[in-house]
Amino acid sequence: MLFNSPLFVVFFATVLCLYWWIGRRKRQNAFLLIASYVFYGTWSLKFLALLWFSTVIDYTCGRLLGASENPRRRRTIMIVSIIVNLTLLGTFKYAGFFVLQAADLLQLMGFQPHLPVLQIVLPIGISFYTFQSLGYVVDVYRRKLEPVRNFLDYALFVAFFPQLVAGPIERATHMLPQYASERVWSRIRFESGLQLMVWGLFKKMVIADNLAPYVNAVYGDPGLFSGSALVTATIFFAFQIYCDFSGYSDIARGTARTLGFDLLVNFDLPYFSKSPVEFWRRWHISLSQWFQDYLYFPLAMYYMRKGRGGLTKYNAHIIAMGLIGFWHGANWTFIAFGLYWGVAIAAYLHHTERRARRRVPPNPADEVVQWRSRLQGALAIAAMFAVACVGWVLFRAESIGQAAFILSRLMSPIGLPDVRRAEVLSSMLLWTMVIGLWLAEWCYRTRPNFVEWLTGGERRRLVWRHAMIIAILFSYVVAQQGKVQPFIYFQF
Amino acid sequence: VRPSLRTFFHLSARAIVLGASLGCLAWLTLLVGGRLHAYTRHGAALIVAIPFMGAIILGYIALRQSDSTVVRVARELAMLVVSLWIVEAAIAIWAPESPRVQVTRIRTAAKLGIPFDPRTKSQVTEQLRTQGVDAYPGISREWPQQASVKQQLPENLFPLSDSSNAWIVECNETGRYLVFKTDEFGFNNPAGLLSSGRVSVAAVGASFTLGHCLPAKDTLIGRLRERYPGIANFGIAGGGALSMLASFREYVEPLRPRLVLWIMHPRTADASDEARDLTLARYLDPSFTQRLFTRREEIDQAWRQLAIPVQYEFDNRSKAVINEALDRRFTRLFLLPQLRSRLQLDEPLRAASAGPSTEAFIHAVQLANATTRGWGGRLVVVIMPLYEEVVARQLPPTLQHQHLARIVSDLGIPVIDTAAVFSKQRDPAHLYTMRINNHPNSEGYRLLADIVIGQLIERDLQPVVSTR
Repeated sequence: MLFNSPLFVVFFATVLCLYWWIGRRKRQNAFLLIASYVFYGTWSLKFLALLWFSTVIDYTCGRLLGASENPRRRRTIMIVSIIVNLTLLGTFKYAGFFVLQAADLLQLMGFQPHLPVLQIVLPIGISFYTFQSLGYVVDVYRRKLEPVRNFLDYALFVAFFPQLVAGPIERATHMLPQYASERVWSRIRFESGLQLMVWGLFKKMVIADNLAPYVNAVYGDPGLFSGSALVTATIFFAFQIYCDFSGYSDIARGTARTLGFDLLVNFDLPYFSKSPVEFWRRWHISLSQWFQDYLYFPLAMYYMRKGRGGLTKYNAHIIAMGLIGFWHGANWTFIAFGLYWGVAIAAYLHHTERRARRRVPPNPADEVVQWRSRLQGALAIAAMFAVACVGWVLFRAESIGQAAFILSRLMSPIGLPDVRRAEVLSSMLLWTMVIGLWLAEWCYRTRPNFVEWLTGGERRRLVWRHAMIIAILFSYVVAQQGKVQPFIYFQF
Repeated sequence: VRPSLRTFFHLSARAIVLGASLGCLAWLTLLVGGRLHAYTRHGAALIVAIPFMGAIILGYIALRQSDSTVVRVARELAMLVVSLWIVEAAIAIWAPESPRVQVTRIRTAAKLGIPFDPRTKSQVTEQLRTQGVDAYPGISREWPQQASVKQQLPENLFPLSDSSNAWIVECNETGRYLVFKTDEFGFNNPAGLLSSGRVSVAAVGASFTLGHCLPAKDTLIGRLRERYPGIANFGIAGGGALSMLASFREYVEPLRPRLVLWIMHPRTADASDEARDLTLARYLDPSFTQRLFTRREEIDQAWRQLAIPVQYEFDNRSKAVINEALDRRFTRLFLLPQLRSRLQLDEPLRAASAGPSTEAFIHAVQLANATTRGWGGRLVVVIMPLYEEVVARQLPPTLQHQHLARIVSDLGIPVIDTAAVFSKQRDPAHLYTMRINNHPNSEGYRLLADIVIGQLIERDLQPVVSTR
């Protein structure tokens, strides 16, 4: 059941009515848990058992951790939880990849391996709920959190349908207290939740779904197209993936808000970042924070304790980013994507550190300095967007070879300059959408008063909401011809 | 006491919400009154639950909630209705649905910058005839089934081919009309092939076999002919399982080729429409034949008289339907016809209607197989990829290629499932003309031919390849 399908509208309306009608916290939680299992069960009942298994294991580990004071025993319990979770993830997500790589390696070494070709179906949302559940166990181990006693609350924490299949990857410290407290109906919260859902659907169905055919056409056969078309497709992909995933996150947050919960903000205008570090503070925030807390900090501490200077101090960044890349999928392109960002972050930190040592800080009151700083800011945003686009080439390409081919042809005049296909909207219209979104976000960032004036007041909000509904319906019926397009991040 | 404007405003809002609630009840009554049978059990439950819940919630709001809540809900409902009308108007202006697929082709070609001949078949035929060409519009299998045509055809004649030795204006999907010259039996073959005794492979089928809508050398049969020069094409546009059996009985049996290719697509497996025709239905009796192989003069005479007026009438009717649809797109705006027809939100909840029947197809292919075996030949079923299956994925499960391939395999008949290969393509749309619901393009037909040849070689089903 996709958020952008008519079936979800019926499901959500029913859940919403019954949920607020029930009115008691415990019953509401039990009802939400059933609704979440129904939501997940529409994809696969088989994998619902897997979700339940993961829930039971981590709940038990949490309880055992809470009951034990012996450090060795506690450590063992945490390691068991990590092994079980990563085994599940590894089996379903990475086993086929590793077998394939092993076969290739053995062949390179002159053997004739007859390894089985594994075609394992990836359970939807496994990367998200595994990390969320694992985070809970580590938090309990680190004594940041008391283990939860109520199994229903914990099961709901793992399976809460708005964020089950594609995040945000929530923290137990953030969600469990919300499940444990009474919910109070608020019309303002409810309306803002609906508004957020409509905005998310707009980004997904009007922008992302209309950019997708252009990107698919170019990346499906990059050899046919000239550099300008490749650049256009890459920029379009940057906005497609942003609107697709942030649209999903907005719908998830909006849905949760109408039910009385607050989910983490997952995107914060990432294309206005001025550095790679800032980009990852604004892009898929819940994932980068998860890696920062549970992987990067321990790794950085380890390297610090080892006390080696030079460039090795950036190892933690590169390893953490490499693993973030690998989290996205079992493909060398994702590993290259992660490593690319790791190197970019390391290079940026190294450069900043050296510059800070050399420079005398300028006087911020000086007007020339202010203008220079603004210009530098604008250039940094543009440069960062270019850096992000190179990353997206690695992310979107089907192989490293294809990514290299695309990057090498970005300046080439040979090939078709544009996509002309029945299912592709004119590139002028697509550019208008992309620039329009960028300008809207720029206004939101730099002219909050203007945005407040434009969308403030109940009546204006009503008009905006329905203008977006009109655009969503028109795009769904005419451009998508009534077909529901899945979210990109569902495959991870 | 005269009510103040404010009171009037609040009362109006209540009336709107109450009206919406009553609207839900009316919808519910309409459903229970007789439309529920069209849905599955779960679908019916859901389709009843939605207006039922809507009526209760809106009724509760209208009668029991505060003025401010009622006004807010009324405003939201009113805006929703206005939004839907705006979308309907936008569709009517920018993307009106056409009742004819040819209009979609013309629009797509315009978008892609491809020159497209917008004339009707009648107009093209007429122009060719004024130039002295003996041209006729291509017939469709459905024609002899139409009452007006049936009346004018000689009694007991159901033709399965075009006029012989004539130029046939067949179809236009690429921008240019496919015009070909028929052989001495009215099929799309090189002249003299059927009479030469060199026929080693016979292909019966529908439009894919006939070669819609590319020049002969670029079609499936054209490409197969490069390897098997003795291949004969008995395709007829719009053909189904029974007309394929009829073509087999009438034209293939007398020739007794070593290999018979039964080139079907999933829609041809549903013979329910053809089974309504008494003549076609009689082909399920192994002894029935019209002896068309020897009645070509009769067929020629019939089509030379009828084909042009029938096509003219069809084109005029099409034009009228298109014009009427264009005229009416604004007049019924308030009922949201375009939006409702495109959304079809209740489609997944609907019970399968009478459903496609594959019984006649199974019987037909069994009969053809047994007959071919009788003269020592082999019959191979080739399943073609329909755009609506491999790209749009809109076929019912009982007509999907895997299902049909399994049925045919269970009968012990070799089957080549080209749709399976098309489905696995990363971008199957690129194999169809203009990437829309058309027949395959040149690349698509090439792939089809490669699959068929590859499978025939692999399974050792090839006829003896003559070197011409």
